[in-house]
Amino acid sequence: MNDLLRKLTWREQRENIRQVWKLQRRLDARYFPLACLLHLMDALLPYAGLFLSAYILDALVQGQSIMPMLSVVLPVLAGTYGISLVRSSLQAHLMVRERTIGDQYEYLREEKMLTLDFAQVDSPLIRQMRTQMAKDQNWGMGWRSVIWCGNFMIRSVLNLVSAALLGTSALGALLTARSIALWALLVLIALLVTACVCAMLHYFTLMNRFMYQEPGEDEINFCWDFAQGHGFTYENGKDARIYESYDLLKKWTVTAWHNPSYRYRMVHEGAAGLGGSSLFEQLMTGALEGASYILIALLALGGYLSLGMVVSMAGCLRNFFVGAAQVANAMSQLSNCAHQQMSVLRFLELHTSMYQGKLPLEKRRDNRYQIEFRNVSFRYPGSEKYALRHVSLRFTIGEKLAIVGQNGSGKTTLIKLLCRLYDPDEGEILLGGVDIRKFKHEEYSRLFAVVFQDFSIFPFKLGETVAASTQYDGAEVKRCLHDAGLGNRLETLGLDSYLYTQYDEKGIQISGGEAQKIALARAMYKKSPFVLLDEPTAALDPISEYEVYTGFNRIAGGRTAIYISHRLSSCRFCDQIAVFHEGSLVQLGSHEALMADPQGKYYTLWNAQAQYYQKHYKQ
Amino acid sequence: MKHNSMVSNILYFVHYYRKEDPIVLWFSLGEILAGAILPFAVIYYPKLVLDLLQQGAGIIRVLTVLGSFTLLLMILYGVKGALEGGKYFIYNAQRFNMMGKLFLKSLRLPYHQVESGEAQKAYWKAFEAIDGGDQSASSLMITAVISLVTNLLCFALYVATLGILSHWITLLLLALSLADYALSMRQIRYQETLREARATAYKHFECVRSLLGDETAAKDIRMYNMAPWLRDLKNAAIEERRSLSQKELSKQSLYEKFSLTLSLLRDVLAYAYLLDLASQGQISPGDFVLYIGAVMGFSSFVQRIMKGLADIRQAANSTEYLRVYMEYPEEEERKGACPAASLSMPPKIEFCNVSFSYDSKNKPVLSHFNLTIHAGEKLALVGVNGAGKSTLVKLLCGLYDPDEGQILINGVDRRMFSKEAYHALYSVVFQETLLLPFTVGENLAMRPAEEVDARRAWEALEKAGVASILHARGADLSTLMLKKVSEQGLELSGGEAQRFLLARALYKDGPVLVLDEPTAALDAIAESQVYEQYQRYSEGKTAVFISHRLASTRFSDRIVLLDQGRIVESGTHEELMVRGGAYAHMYEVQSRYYEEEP
Repeated sequence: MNDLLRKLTWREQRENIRQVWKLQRRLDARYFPLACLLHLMDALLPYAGLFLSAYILDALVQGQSIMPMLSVVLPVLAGTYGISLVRSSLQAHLMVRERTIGDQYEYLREEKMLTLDFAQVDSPLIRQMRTQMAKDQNWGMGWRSVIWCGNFMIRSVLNLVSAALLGTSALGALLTARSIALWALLVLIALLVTACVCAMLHYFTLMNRFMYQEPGEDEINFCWDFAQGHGFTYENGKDARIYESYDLLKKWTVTAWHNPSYRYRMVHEGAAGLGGSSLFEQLMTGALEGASYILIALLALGGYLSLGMVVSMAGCLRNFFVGAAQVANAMSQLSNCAHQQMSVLRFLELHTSMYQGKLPLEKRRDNRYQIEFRNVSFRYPGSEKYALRHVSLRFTIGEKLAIVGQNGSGKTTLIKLLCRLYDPDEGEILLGGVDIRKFKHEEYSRLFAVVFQDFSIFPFKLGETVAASTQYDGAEVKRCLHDAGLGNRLETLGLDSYLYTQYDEKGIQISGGEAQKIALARAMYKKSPFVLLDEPTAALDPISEYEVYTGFNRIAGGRTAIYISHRLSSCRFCDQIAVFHEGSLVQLGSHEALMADPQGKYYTLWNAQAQYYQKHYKQ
Repeated sequence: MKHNSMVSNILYFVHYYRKEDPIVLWFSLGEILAGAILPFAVIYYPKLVLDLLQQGAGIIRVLTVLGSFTLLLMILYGVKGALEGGKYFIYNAQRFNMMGKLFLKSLRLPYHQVESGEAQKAYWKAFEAIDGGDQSASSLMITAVISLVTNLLCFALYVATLGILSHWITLLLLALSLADYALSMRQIRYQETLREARATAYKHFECVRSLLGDETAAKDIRMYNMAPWLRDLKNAAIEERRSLSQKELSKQSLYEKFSLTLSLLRDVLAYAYLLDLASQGQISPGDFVLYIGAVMGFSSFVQRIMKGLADIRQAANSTEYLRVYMEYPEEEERKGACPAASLSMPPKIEFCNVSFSYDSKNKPVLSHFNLTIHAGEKLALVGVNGAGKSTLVKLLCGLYDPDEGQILINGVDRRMFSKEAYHALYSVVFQETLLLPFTVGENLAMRPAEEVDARRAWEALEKAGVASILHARGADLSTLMLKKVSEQGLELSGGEAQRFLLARALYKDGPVLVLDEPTAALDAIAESQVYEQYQRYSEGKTAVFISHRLASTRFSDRIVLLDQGRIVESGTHEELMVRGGAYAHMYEVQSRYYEEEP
């Protein structure tokens, strides 16, 4: 991340701009060619008025009457009007495109997340990159600023070129005038060069200072986070009230915001920086505008220019100087913009890091897929401790396996490895004797229907949510929902009702228990040869829990099933039980077999919970 | 919704900035002045040059006059630029301050209100009003008012200039400007009709976007191959916004074309009139340039005035949302007549004839509910999901007020206590885990670090079994929690966090202990430990334990089974088992698998 903070060489800046341009072409290749047309009109339209004034002034000095003058004026006005009409339509069209580009850009990063491995999504590196990207979008520095900069650049260049072309007569006059004019020209050129250099330097220092602060420094304040519900939701208001923590929350939000050192940096340096650079830029505009008139006036005094030409040439000269300063300014802003996009560009370049096998999965109607863990060890990236250590385990086809163990014993990790959300560090997982890494990842994923402990139910239509797709078999979805225990609720709501209210305001609110049942229905609808359930009853009351237990056979339906739960009662309806302790598989067998070993972990776990339910229990 | 006038909403921010950072106002004033004179100076300059040349002025005079005018231009440009750029960060930074204030405001509302759908909606509308960058109410109000006033002044200055020349031409221009104004008004109104549709489209856009990148959902997205589905939703969201933009902007372009036609009419008339005057020698060529410049400037001022007005309307609308929330009535300060300290502890709590409903439309969750929790009694509250257990707890802790009936503490109506004194009675562990990116000590005490009592803190941590976890990680009370602020931040697993919350309740040491599902995320051994320690935790306290794990009832003096807001059974475990009712059934269902002979 730190390489985003350092200064860039010219070559790197050029490369950044090139990449940004490539991305822009990917988003909308026709936007800028069309924009050029618009800017061309914008660059030329002002000269109509300018040259009209010049013509009229000269005509007036020559004492012309009104009619011939009007015969020039009216066609020019009509022509300008016609072009303006076209311009208006074009501008509207471009604006629509610009907004859509912005929208697509907003989605690029999120869509990229879909193509990454889960291990990447879950890694601190990606989280850091996402934070940096979000930060780089602050102060309006998103793609809109790239578009703005691109337009600014085109406009400046066209202004400069059109001013130079139309002002050649002034240039000719300058070359014939050797005395005062030449001297004045030199002064102006010097001014111009200084202006450009200063503008560029200033923008660089300012932007670098602001956009690339050391990470962490600006995060001691939680106004935005908490107000947005990050890390504190309205439900936490219960604790805030009962524990009287208003003062604490105030300390880290509004009071921290008023902290002078933080605010000083944020506000005063920013104000001074942006105000200073804006002051400088505007002073230059004023100076150049004034200077062009002085130069032209001097030329006119020397008799090199007519009265009419004074107006038009001063305009050209002014536009030329301002254009030149703008080009320099646009260049520095463009490279800033491109620099700001670096984090996004790097992110979009990321490749999946897992080995992508090519082997197609054998289609089996009988669902007899045999999976085996062979001496598997795994550590989470950046962690010293093994989450799983030398695990060998064979899943018997069509059997139900319970996995039990204390918090942190590796149960959920096993599921993640089995689904190939992670790859093992050592050992291998075999499907029909072949390392699972060799299969096409997507096809392999089809083998599993999982209900994770922290499953997500999306706020879209119920039917689509269960099928995880826009197209689905309505009757089958209904059957699954019914089997998952949502039969009663299903009568009042159709498959087209939206869940929750984030997407549709009229969506229906569902409880945690109901969400768990929808997740179960989703797993059933998938009809995979393996069903994996991780704590599916944590939020359920005893009756619903019992329904899930008794319905488990129906859910599993002859498929290979794995059931993780802290409720050891669930072991009773599983064929085999695998007991994990600190990342290792310590026991494997049926309930009766494991209970026969009073020294075993299972015996301890079972009794810790069962003692309270047994008739002879005495307090 | 109360409606404040546009002016009142402008003044709201004037007052706000005067209080928080008055420099914004001074900068704005300066920018308006410089901005109003500047356009006039720009069109005056060519006239000055032409007049000098026509008068045949000498080189020294030309240089001094034009030189000083250039200086004036530089000053005007410079002042405008410096003030415009200079205040940008200042007023933008204020948005964070406002967000903080909004957040704190939500903590001062009665909790039942915070929870309601209406207040939630109001909150997010208020939040959006200050979250939109340059389009947020606080920023837009400033830029729009500056633009409006500046351009009004310019307009007046130009009218006055042309007024010197002729009243007729001025009147004509004013009439055309009025027509322009009417056109713009229609356009603004049209845009406002799209507001709802745009808000909905934005909601869809943001909702789908946040889900695509959601880290928790990433597992499900992959295992259920949801990418094609989500991409469909994404395309629909983008298209929805694109077609709205298309509609809006083609209409806008249509209005612009009408306006351009008006401008053409104005230009033709102005040129004809001024040419007539100039060709007859009634005005100098310099004057001609000045007047033509002024006429041409007109339409841009009218347009900017209209844009300013439209922006102010938009800002005022957002301001309204902000004000509505900031002016919500806060929790009443009950001047407690009865000091809680005088109560004998642990207290006895009675629900007398309590009724409560979330809103008047729905049927009450509790209706004429009666329950007495005796001093020092350990009560277990059980029932299926949705039986009303959580509502009861919120009523108990004073997060909700009953619609009818009373809640008595040692026979005294709880309204007799101040809010603080009442809350002080309770140590509660709620279902949602709240850990904040602050220090361990602050998370434990929920008070600022300087108020944390280190000795008591370690005692509580010890008692809840968290101290050893902290020691193992080398953490102490001043260690920051979560990875948010520092890379070294302390992260706790689900089970550890639940123990930490217990420690929080123990640190507070309220005479009433309420535990709502404190073992849901714990493994069998940890669960059993909590049960065993529960007796120690609740010693000398009135305690309420809610759990789906019916084993927990074994440690309670009395079990209350709730169903649809009513007490259906009450008694000790043995009594209820003998009775063979709903509780016995529930217990039987859960214990079935644990019995030695299945």
